[in-house]
Amino acid sequence: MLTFENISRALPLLLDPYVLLVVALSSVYGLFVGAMPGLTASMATALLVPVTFFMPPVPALAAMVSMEAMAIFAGDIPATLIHIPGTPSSAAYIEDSYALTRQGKASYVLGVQLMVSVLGGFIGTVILVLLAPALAEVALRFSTYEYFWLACFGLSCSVMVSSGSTSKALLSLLIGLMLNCVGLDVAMGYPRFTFGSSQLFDGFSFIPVMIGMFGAAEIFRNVLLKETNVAPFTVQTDNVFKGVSAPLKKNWRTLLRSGVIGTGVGVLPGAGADIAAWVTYGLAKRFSKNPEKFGKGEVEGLVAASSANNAALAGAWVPALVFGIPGDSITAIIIGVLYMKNLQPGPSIFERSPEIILAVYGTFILANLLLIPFGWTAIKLASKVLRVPRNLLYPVILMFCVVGAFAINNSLFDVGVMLVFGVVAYVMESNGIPVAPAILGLVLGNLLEKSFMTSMMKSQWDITAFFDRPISVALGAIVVLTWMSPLFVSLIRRRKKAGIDNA
Amino acid sequence: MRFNDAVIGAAVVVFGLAVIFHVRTYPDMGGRMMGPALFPTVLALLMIVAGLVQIRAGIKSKEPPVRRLPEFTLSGAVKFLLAAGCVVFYIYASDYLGFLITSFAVMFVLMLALRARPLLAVLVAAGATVCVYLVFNKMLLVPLPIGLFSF
Repeated sequence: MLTFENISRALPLLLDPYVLLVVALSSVYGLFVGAMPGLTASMATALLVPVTFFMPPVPALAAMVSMEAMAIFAGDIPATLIHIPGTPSSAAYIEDSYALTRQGKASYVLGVQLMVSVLGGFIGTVILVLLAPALAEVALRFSTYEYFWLACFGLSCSVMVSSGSTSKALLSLLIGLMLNCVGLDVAMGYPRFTFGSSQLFDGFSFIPVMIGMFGAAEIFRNVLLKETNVAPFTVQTDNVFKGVSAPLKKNWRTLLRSGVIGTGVGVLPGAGADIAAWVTYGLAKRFSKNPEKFGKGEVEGLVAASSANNAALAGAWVPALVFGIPGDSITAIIIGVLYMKNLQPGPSIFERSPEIILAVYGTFILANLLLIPFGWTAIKLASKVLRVPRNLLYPVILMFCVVGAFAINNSLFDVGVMLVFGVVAYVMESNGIPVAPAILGLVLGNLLEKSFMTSMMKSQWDITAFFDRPISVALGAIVVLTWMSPLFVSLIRRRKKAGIDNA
Repeated sequence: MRFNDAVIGAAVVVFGLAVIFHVRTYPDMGGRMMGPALFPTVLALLMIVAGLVQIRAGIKSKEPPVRRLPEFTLSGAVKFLLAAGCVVFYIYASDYLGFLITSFAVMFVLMLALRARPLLAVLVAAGATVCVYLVFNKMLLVPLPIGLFSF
């Protein structure tokens, strides 16, 4: 994989002026979207697709990677300055960063967050580079039985990790899987739920659905809210990097641990940067000598969560590239893009087009390096960016959703699909039904049904074939354990509670 | 708008039953049940189970069937309907009016509804329309509808 030949073939692809220009532009775009409260990195990805759709694979992927790395850091800027997270990934540590701002340390906090974001990003990238090819070796031996279990595992994870009611997460997953049934079925090519419309033979086009669920839905939610204008603020952001090295040296253990755990959370299907931040913040608090300071301006929590969310981004690419199973909603969209470009993700992509894989690695390194100067500039310009009037911005984004949905197939029908899914996602979210499991259902539904049907046909409808091969059995066991995990957790809790009562 | 879980659950159960009823007409593969209907049927059954769980939770919660969310206002609802209506308008009008006119109209109306200053709204709507047109139509060669007027 990392042979001299491959690298020498990938480097010119990455250092092409066109690609570098794309990286620079998407970085600026990522910083802007990340820093605007109400606009998320998933939305930025969905809206980037129509543009990257017309690019060759390497710049298209480079655009996605650099955009997401910038956006997740940029979410910290409004969290620190005005107490509103720019993306959900910055919500975990907002109390600490804002408390420090009120003590007049805004530039110091932003400097620390910038540096740990970069370092977290590097930890994630290193793990991605080491883990993905190793897993791909294993995955080469997978057949349809293993892929069926993998799809089950991915879908189960997305339900288990979602916050709030598990039954609502399951409902969301089922909605996604059911929507995936629309179109010609995988076994016989029979049109399902098309009701005579030939436009639905291939099912709903994936990208318009994504633009609707992530783009239009957020616009709908934002225009429904009462006007919240950002109050003018003046924060000294001089000397961003002054005094940054001391907390890094002091908390290097936390940084390393959070980077690794954050990447691990990213690898888990359905759990992305936001959950990584919450998990590592909680862990840092538990391991800390002074947990009572958390939430009141403790730097350690900031270091943990702010590095973990950037690390999770690279982690999410591991299952996405190796198995075609998204690690978060951003890679869910990217898998859709890879399929459109006829680059089926999976272990064979490491053999077939190593330059694509190396370009992803390379862009992660490049983007994290660029994050230092770009992030610094964004901090300097923050007070101006945050004053961009929303009432002008939202209509423009909505128009962008319309044109983006249209551009994939040049079809107005797709614009309608975008609108319907935007409304559906808004209604789901406002009723406490998370959207992420539905997205995973849409992405993985086809793999699930296809691997099941092919396996059954291969084994002459003998369902025990799913337990014949050793890897298949192991994966099946993991899936069953995942389903049982809530049971275990509640048992342990009851035990503990009983123990406390007895004492 | 927040519905009681029981309302959502009931809707899901009805939907699941409808799916099961509909897929009964699908062909099977040589007398076996494993055909195009298998997956929708399994999903529908699971949906009915999840729906029943929701109904139970909803009845337990004793909340009203429909509750207004605190951040929900009448003017917010109007803006939401207007935004959705603008997309519908684009779908039906863009072929006749063309992208430039429709896009400008949609953005301008929405900006006014969100209380932007009219002069600023005209400038930004026009500028954004031209930018989107140049990027998608001229650079990426997406055939945006020409309609009455184009360049």
